[in-house]
Amino acid sequence: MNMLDMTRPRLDMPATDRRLFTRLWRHRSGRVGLLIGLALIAFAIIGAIWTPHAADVPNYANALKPPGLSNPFGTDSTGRDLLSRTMDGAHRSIGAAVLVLCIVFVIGLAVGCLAGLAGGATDAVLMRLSDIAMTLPGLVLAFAVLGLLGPGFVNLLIALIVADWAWYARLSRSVALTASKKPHVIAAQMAGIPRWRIISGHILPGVALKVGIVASLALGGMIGAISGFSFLGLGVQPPSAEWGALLAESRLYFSLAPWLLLAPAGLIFLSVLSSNLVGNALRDVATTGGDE
Amino acid sequence: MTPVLTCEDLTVTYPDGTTPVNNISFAVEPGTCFALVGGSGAGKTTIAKALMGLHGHGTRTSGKLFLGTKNMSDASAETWRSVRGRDLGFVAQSPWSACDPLRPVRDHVAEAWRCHGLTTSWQEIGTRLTNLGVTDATMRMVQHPHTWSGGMLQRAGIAAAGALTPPLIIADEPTSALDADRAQSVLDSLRALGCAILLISHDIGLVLKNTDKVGVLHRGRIVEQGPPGTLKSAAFHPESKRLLAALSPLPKRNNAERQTPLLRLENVSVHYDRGQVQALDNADLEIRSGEIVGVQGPSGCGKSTLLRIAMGIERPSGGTLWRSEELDRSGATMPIFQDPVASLVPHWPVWRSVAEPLSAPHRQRLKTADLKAKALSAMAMVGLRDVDPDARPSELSVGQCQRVSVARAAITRPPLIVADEPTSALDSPSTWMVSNLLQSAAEAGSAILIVSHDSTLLERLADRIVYMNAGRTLLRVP
Repeated sequence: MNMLDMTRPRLDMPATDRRLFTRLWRHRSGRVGLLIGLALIAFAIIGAIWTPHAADVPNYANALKPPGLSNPFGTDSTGRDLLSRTMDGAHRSIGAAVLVLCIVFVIGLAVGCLAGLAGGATDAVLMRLSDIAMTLPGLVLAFAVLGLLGPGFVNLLIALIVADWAWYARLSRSVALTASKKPHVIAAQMAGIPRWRIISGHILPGVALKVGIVASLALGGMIGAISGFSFLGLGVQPPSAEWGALLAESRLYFSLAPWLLLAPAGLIFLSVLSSNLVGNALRDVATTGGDE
Repeated sequence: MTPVLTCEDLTVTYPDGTTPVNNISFAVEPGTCFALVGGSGAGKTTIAKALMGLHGHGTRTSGKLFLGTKNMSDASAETWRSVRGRDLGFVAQSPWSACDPLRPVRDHVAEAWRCHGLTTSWQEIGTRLTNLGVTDATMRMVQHPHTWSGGMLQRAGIAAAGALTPPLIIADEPTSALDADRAQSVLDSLRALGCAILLISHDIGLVLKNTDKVGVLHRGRIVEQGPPGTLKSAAFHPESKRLLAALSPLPKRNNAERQTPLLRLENVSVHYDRGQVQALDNADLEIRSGEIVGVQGPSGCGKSTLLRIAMGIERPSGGTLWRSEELDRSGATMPIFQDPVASLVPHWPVWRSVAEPLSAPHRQRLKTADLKAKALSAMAMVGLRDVDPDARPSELSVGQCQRVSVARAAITRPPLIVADEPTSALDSPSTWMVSNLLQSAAEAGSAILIVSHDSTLLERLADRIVYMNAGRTLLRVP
């Protein structure tokens, strides 16, 4: 019998599932959040490819029709089908929020870890930069950037990235600093493991998970922010549809056609709910995994 | 005489349906000390809570429970409140967390009277504390808990538990925060109160010395009970044997070939804050290869600084530090830490943590399969053959995690292993296991520098013990 056979463990211990997704799926409210999220993503993907009616073509004969068989969500002031418009707008609202968060997550993680682990002058310079970005409230900074670049969807995304990256950099830095003093990191240093391997193997995955949980909780807020700027007319420009912009339009006809409000507001609510449920569940399953 | 506590078929069921305590039956006679002893996770604290009616919402307790002649089986929260303190005293594990940090110690003791609507004089409290061996009690009791030592504060806890002279005191690990000498004197004070004691502990040595009857707890059941003498000589259950094994002495090592010096500190001093704080003051230390050197001393005496100097991650401010060439190579000193779970990478399978030192670039390059095979055999050496090597640290017990840490430290057979309180988080069988493993590492040629407050452990394990006080080292050869 060779060494391997002698030391092969008996697998009688009930192995808890180590895949994050499976554990998330077993979490009750996490599953609800995932299901809502998947439904919304499907809604957005289908909406980007196909809509029951043309989303941008007016049909004045049909204006402000209440919900019915052919227009389940009703029609807007120019007779466009609201279901088609929410479907068409879904990928802008959800996709843009996810994109902004992914970008600030990556920038924040890179800047924060670099500052926290390099220390010294690098840390000082990067953190003073983030201090400058954080002196102005996020919304004010985003307004300022939009003022410089002019309204528009891409400019809105840039503004949101400029407004948010510093916060994630701060968070990543503090998590990375704590992680770099953990006993397992010292043990690796003593064993002569090179620094880049300690960072990539020991520190980064833990930091990414923690900051990722925060980012996932922020998704709802980001969808809200994009909708908010579009509502003010600073984001998506007509005739493109976006949930916040749809909400802004519906406001004008509230007394005549209150149903116009329901679809975009409901969808924004569902996406905020879904991201909060998933974020909370992620925090639960990741923290019971032993990483405090 | 009626027992002060009678438990028949006590079962505790958690809201999720698990039963951490199953059909436990025992009785505590007046004036005697009954101990429940068991390893981590045996159900000790759950029993203590059940006996005081302190279970959380949704937890159910079934079976019969009598305090003296009072039937407490289905007692209401109000009944329990009237009983606690009068019929039942409690001494908690950590005296610091048992006391309100914002109030002076005497308030904590006076609370025992106040919560039953009674009054007492400060003088009475002072006398009681003095009787329990607190020096300058009347003067010191106006101080706040953090200025008291653990042993003294635990006495204040005992004074509070015994304030209304209850017939029974439940003490849940009352000495686990204290070192061996203080633990004994605290137990003496507890017994001096004269009431019956239900002692809950993982420390079988302490239990055998101090109790009249012992119940061995394993997975929520009492697997064996009897007087300590009988248990010691004729234990039949494997769990009792496992706990008792912790008392057996370690095998003697041969003393040859411990002549090559590895590390020498002469008059080493370390200052912090521009000389304001003196962490080490003319400390001397020599470690020779294959030797086990223990370091002991009160908190803040410079033990950790000494350790960091030995590990080479801190430079001395003065004095001479000599390290052998062997020790200057990368990976020549491996650490073992106090917190076993935090010493392992949380998102890695444990085998990978064990194998990591072998994958350092200055070593021969190995394929992943070979690394894993070596990690598995190292894990088998520390008795973790049955543990899934792909498990994450959070799936292992604290004791198992510490064994993984020892396996990692020893896998490259480094010339020096530095261990900082490696057993303070462990129960006695795990402590015994870890000290055995350290000894085998020393047999294999590694010198070991171990810091611990457990003097029994150091006396059994170390070839030399260095006592430290206020940054100075005082050498003792046992």
